[in-house]
Amino acid sequence: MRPADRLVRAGLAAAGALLLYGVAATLPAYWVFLATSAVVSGVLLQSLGVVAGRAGLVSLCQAAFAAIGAWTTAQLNVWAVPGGLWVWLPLAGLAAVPLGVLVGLPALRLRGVHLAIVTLGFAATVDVVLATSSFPGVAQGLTVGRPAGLAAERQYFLFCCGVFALVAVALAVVGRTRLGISWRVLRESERATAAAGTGVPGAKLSAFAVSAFVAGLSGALLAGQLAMVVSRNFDPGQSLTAYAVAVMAGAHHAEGALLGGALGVLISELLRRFEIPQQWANVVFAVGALQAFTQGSGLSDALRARLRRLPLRRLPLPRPSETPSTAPSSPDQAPLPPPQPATALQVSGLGVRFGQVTALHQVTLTVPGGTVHGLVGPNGAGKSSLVDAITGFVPCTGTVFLSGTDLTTAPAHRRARAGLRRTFQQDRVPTTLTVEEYLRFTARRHLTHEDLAEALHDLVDLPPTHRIEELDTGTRRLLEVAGALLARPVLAVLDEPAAGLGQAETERLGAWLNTAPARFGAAVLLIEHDLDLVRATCERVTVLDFGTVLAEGPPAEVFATPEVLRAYLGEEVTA
Amino acid sequence: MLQGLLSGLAAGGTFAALGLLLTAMYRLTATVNLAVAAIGVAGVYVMAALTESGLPYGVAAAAGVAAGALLSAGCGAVMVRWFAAGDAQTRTAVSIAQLIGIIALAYILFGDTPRVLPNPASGAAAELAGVVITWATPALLALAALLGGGTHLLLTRTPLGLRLRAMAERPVTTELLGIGTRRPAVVLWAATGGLAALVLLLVAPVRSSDILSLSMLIVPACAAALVGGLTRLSGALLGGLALGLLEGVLAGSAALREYRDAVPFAAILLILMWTRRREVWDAAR
Amino acid sequence: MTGSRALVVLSLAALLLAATGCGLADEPAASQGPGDTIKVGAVSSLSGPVTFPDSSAAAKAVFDRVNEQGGIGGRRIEYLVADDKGDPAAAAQAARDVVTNQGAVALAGSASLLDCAVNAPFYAQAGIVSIQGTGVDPTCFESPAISPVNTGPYLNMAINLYYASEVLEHDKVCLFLAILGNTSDAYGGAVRSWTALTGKRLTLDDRTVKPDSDPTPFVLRARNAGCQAVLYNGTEPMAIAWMKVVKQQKVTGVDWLMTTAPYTEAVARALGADGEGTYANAEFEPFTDAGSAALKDWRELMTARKVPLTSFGQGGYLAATYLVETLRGIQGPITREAVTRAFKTLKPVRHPLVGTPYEFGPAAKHRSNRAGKIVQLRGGRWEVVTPEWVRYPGTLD
Repeated sequence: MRPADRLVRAGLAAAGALLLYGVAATLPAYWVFLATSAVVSGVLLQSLGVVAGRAGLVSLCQAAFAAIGAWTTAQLNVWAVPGGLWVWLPLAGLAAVPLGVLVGLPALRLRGVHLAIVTLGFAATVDVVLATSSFPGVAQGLTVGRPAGLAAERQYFLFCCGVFALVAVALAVVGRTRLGISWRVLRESERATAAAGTGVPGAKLSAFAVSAFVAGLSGALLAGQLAMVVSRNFDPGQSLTAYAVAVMAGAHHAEGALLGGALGVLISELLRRFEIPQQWANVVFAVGALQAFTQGSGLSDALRARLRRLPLRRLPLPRPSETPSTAPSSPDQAPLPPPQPATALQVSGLGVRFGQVTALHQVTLTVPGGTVHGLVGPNGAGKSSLVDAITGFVPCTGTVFLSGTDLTTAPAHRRARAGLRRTFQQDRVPTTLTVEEYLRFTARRHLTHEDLAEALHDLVDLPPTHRIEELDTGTRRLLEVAGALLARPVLAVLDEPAAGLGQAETERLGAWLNTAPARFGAAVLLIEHDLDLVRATCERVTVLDFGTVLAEGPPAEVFATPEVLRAYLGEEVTA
Repeated sequence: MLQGLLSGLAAGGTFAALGLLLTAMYRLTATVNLAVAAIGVAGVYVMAALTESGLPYGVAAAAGVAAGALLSAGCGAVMVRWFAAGDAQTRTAVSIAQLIGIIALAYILFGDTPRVLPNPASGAAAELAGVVITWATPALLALAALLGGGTHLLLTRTPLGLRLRAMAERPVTTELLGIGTRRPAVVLWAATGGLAALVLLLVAPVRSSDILSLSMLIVPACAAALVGGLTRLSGALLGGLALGLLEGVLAGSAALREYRDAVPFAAILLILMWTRRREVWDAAR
Repeated sequence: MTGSRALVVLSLAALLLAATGCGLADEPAASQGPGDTIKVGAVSSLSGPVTFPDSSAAAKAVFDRVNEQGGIGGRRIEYLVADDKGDPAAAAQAARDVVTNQGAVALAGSASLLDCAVNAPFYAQAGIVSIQGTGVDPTCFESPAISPVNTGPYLNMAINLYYASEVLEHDKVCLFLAILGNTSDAYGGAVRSWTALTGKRLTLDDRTVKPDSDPTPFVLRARNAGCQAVLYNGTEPMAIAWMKVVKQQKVTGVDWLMTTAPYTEAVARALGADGEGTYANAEFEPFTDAGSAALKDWRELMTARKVPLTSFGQGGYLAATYLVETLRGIQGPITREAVTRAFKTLKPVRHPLVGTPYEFGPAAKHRSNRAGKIVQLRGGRWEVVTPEWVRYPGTLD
């Protein structure tokens, strides 16, 4: 970030703080209470923003997490733990974390509708348990006390605002780290997450844990605000409504969460003023959520999209083609890639079965270090199964060694971390990231702007701040290839990278791939239908048919053997 | 023990019937319609309002079923109009919004007075092990069996079922092939709404008549449907019955009584985790 | 890096906010000068799963009559009823609206499942008193700021236990409870108190009934255990469902005792012959007793103002009446402070509708209504069984 930009942010933060102070000092007492409620439910909505908004996991039990936070606060209050809310608040958040992880566990195998049902059932279960046992201190009439400095409603309002801001900033910071990006990648594809070397279980569990922590905070804040909470504060209906509001407002952005909280309070207040039954508020949320679903995005996304279209904040973006240094031809300037092993990949006796069908049988494949190796074969020959088996996405028999290390039993993300990268035939580049975010995520190492410019230089012409959803499929494919190699793997397995590319782009890809082993210190296993590309790039080629290796050798020799011609090009050619 | 089992039969029939409706809808419309119980509740309340205004029960009940069908058709029309190409997760989330809206509207229209609901099947059908079984129990069980059988036939033996399945699995392709799917889909939604109302008409008088707690019957119904993995009708039927019987037995067990709502859920969760232990990845390839 | 720097900046800002926030104190709540109306508030469940509209409607009838007769010292009473829709967040908001925003001097005739639990600390802090029309949750009986006019479910249950074991002389007394919210301990207190008083124990103590439960397993359990008297705390529809199952399962020879909640005309109508013999406990002079002289004023007022004749209506009427009498006794301007002072120094007030005098005073908790009259469903009508008040001789802690 440039210093001027940083100054602007600091200024904005200071101005915001001043504004809040002014609001707190001048608002009528009743409105201070309403504003506090809005901010507290804003915190709850931010927790949904993490798990549902960013990671795309349906969670219908956020109020249950909040209940744990509130329960913990009440219990700490009964025990009179020193430190008051300042200490109880983070403890309440932490108390909700194990539960978040517990709910996250089923999410490792259940997704979408199943997960929705499980979380709803979990919310109902927590409600049952809470309803049969009262909150600590309630029976004795013991209310949750606030420490000096937070006792007045106005002070408490500022405290809640502070917590909201801290959560918002922390989530924004986390959002730019690998962890935060992994949630967004997870939303689009679990396979792409693992292929980038990030464990899917870790990403899912961390999303639930962080979400539960934030929800726990909101429960503690609510306990502090109302001084006494009951189980109905957190019944499953509240979770459902929170979900609808989060969708409507777009709670994965802080302003969306705040907007959602404010809407909840404001609608309820308006209904009260006009003496309309309070239940209409839920009708409004239901319709709002439906509207958001039809748009595919919430209010905050719409706001941001509008802001982006405004001409004011157009910082000049440094385009890679404009950067003068561009040192692609002089790889010696960059830190040297790791020395290349003699054998990058050694696969032997590999077999894959899907039920009764044998997809691969006794496949043996060796890719020497620093080379581009081709893997070809007709449709249904087992190429994709082989890629999945090598990279750990499909269970197999036989052994897989990467530069001498046995990876046969390692899960996909560990293989990726060990230097075995892959791309996908399907478009799995996460669309919500920017080019730079994506490349940094897949590379798993520190990248300078020069690194990025160098990698992309003669492949695609892309400014790093570009959003991937604005790119066409071919460009995304090239970006994925660049990402896989930027990680400087031992071996990059590229699954039909030229599919859907134009002639010029394919030629550029071929030229780029030829220099890739030297630039990135990686061997490449290229699965391709385009035989011209294979001839132009590969030193050796393996031909696969009916799940077994048909031939292996330099392209010119292999493509001349009659078996290959028959299998690959069809009978009539040889005839 | 036997008494517990017998007294859980009615609940089992309820869960099974609702679980079957969920399963059928998931297979035919790719939606886990979480609002299905709430739609039935709305039908029940229409019936209650009409009987209170002096209509005979039969007419009022028919109107209630019709109201459930109409409401459900409305929900289905929204789904077909705007979310025809949406995935199951989106469509289920949409049904959550509909659930919230329906509950709120039901409270606005009917909620201010607790209602006493007439029970069409309160007569004794049989007496077993000292337990009197009312007609509601065999009626619910028969309804569940009919639902299961009917849906099975619809799915496997009729062109309509084929068309609907195609639509649920490949909405865009089906549309491109020029197969009209909107009207049958809405009709299907209407039918499930009417059936849900019928189930609730039998259940509601036995349980309390609170809109929210009746709508939350969707949770055990979901659990029942999950036993069949949301796709197998037999699983939903047996799962629902087993859940109801378990509830009945647990109500008589001193140790587990307090958590009887949680126990079946935990059981389902474990079953699901086990059966899906190999579903490591989100997409098939 | 940039992100963490932004974090540091903002957390500093947040700390600053909190620190400077120390300068902000709550101003004393708005008070009224003379000449305006006297604002009286109530937080009641008017919409949502369980509603109590009659209490505030009856209180309003009382206030309207006072206004028509010239008000209090020439000032009219303005009655502000806020709906909590059975939702804690809405209840908190409603209380702040009535007390802070609109500046009520006192609360009277509130009837809600959760007003006390959610708002008792706030009322104490705001220095306002609430003369609760119907207190349900235990907090209503545990707060210095709240004194309900009704008996409440817990003492109600203790009276029923006492009546079942000592008056009806049953040995096998069973208890079935639907626990809503934080009520389990309070019911437990009632049972302990009864055991301490009589030395008897419950044959069955089942607290797992849910509002949406099918009552069949519970009724069968009671029969299998050989209960002679069964106490149940279900609300109106729950009690109806319960008694219908009793009839279905042909359970006979058991006395069924309900709390105040099902003591309504609607239950009598819905059950008819099915409910023959069911007992309920009236917290006030039983309103179905047409001949009672104690009910004359209440009955006339409610009929004239078209308020349904229910037990909740009696609570609202009593709360409003106590408040009006106290307001009349205040010398000087009627402000929140003056009203609170008047109630904190209130001498016990007798009223023919209740068995024990109403108290407020400086106590840390209030439970002044300690008597009930037992009614029984006979021939589709509620009949008074105990013309004298059944006073509970023990205490609830």
